[in-house]
Amino acid sequence: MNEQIRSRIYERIKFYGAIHHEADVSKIANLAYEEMIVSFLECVYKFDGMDFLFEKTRLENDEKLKSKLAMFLLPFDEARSKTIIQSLMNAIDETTRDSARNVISEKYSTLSELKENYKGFLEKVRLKHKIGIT
Amino acid sequence: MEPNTDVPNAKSLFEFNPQNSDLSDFELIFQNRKSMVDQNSISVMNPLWHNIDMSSAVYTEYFGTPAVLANAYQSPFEYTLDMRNQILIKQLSSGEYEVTTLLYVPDSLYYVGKGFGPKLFNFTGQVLEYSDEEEVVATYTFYKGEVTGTETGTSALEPDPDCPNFGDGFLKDVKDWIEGIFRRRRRGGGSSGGSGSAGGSGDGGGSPGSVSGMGWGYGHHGGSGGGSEGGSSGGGPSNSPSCEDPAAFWAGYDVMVKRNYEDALSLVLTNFNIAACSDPYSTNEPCEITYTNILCQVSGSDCFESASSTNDFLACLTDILAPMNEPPVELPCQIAVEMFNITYGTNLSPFEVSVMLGGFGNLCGDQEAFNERVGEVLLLALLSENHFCESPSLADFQNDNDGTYLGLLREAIRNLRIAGVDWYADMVEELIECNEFQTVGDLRDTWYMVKDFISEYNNSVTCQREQEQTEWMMAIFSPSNVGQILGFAVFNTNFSLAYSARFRVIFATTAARRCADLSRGYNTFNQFKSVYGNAGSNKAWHHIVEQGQISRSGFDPRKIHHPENLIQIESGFSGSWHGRINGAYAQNGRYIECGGQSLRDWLVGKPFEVHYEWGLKVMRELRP
Repeated sequence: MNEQIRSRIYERIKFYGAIHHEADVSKIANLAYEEMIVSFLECVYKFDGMDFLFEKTRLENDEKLKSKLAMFLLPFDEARSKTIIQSLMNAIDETTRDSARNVISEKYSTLSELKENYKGFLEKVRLKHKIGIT
Repeated sequence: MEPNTDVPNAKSLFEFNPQNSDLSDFELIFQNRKSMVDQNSISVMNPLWHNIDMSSAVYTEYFGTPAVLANAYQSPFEYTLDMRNQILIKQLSSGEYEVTTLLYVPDSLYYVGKGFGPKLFNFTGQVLEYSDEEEVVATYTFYKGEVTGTETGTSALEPDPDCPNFGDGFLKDVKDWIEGIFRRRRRGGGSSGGSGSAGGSGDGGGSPGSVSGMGWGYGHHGGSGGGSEGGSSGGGPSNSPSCEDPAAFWAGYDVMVKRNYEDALSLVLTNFNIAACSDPYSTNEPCEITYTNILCQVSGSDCFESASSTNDFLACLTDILAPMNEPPVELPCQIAVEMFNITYGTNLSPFEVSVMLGGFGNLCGDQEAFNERVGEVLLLALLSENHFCESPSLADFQNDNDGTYLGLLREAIRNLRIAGVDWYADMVEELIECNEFQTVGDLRDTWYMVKDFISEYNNSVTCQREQEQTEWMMAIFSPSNVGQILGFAVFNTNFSLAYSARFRVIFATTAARRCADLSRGYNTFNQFKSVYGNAGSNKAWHHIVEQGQISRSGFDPRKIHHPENLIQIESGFSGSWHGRINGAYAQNGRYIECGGQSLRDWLVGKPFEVHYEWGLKVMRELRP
């Protein structure tokens, strides 16, 4: 049962992720981004989907979505998340590739700082949407 | 706004090489350029946009210089590496500008009869005057871009010595400078064809226009030379009846034969130090060897039967001309040149020095001044002609196993430092020393970038007055010129991945250092616009480092409203470049480095160069 729901939620994450990529107009983009995170958190907390998301992210073809999900997963498992980001260092998309290299080389902040940032950021969204931990 | 499909994409512009491209391609691109005189129709980040040298105009208008030179870069002749459209601008006390065209002499027969003639452009690229009938010196008066008066003077090939525009003082210096450049370019470029119309200005007896019509490669001196030569050639040997009338003589030959002959002749005259009449330096010297004389000698031999290439003519002409040079003519300034050669270890002939200097003037009597002046000119010649005159292909760089091109880059850096362009030299040095500078493509593109810069620099700096250097620099590095590097950083698609990222960082650091020169910045955006004008229709001035960071990150407004930080880009319509950039800055989580924040928020408190680097990065990502 959970497997089915997780898959549906992942489709939802992909759907909002695609809107977020394409929308340079801030409001639509930011709304889609938040929807994506809410879906992500539900999957992780309500449906025990962390391993599921790691596997899905590892196999994801959309480089931009993959990079974002890998960062959301960073607070949960730094090593596995880092491996995914490393695989994006040769991404086709220049921006994704550049970002992955910046993260791995810790150009602007260390990986642990980034981990803390994402942790705080996800926690804020979780509390705002009252997503409980089961 | 619909994209202008006539504009070749940035990559093709970078790759366009007049030396290696078919002339029809060149003409096609020129026709495109001609159709784009409305600057607002061209994307500002397209490097083509920057081909109008606005800097001189900006300088004149805003810094109040009495007179400046502007290159009308919209001319197709820019690509011939010859100076054709030099314009002298003089600001009158009434607020009007007096614009004088100085030289227009085509250097390639390709253009003759094809409608490419002298043109005067205003600073929006609009053609103000056009004539392919004759080479003229014309004075135009215009106000706010419109011609308010025109006065056509005498031929550019024979400037009237009484012409007030060419009196003593600065204008005379400018004229001399133009003549010198023209001679040097003609000689260095090796394209010695002249237009037939140019030959009509000979002022002496004999066969008018015989020299300049044949294009000996000594610039407009051909005009006066043609006359004097014509007079003396009457008594010269004549092995072929038609050689006395060069126009008729050459009509029987292919243009390439004539060109090869002229190139070979120039080389022989130089190598043997033969002073032929109408040479720039021989005005006051006894003149026994004339060009028509030489032509008659050569036409009487079997040169034209056996020779087809420049080298063939070279061998043939050497045999004929060497005996004519007995005893060798003592050249003016010969001793001074020899002293210079001994001091600096060079091997220059008086002829070469004369061509470089544009005439010796009174320099020969003062060895110190002579050395200083020749050294200065030689440096510019080194920068512009010796090292960066070729246009190597990618294969040349691939086969460069001994590091020649990297060596040339290092030499260029040294020369740029000597020339006082430290900021650029520093930037290039940092680029070629960085770990990411690895591939042949990196080397090639960086080499071409430096080549373009040196070319641009030389065009501007050669004419600078020493006392105006600082102000000239301000004009040279106006937004339009800095935009060239910016355009390179944003549009270049040939760099390797790692080098591309590194390039942005290094350029951002350089730009940040230059923005730190607050004297060039403005306290408010309106002040900036009052000087640089509005961006134009469907465009806006874009701050690479955002205005909002003045309050949020505490940047000095003069750093933000700074010519190095502002660029005109498409704006004001749905999906415009400007709109998308703003959207990307506000979008949460667009860049994973930002920890879920928007780029705008994440950048707060970071150094200026990081803001600038991201400004470039976002522009590149969303480039139209």
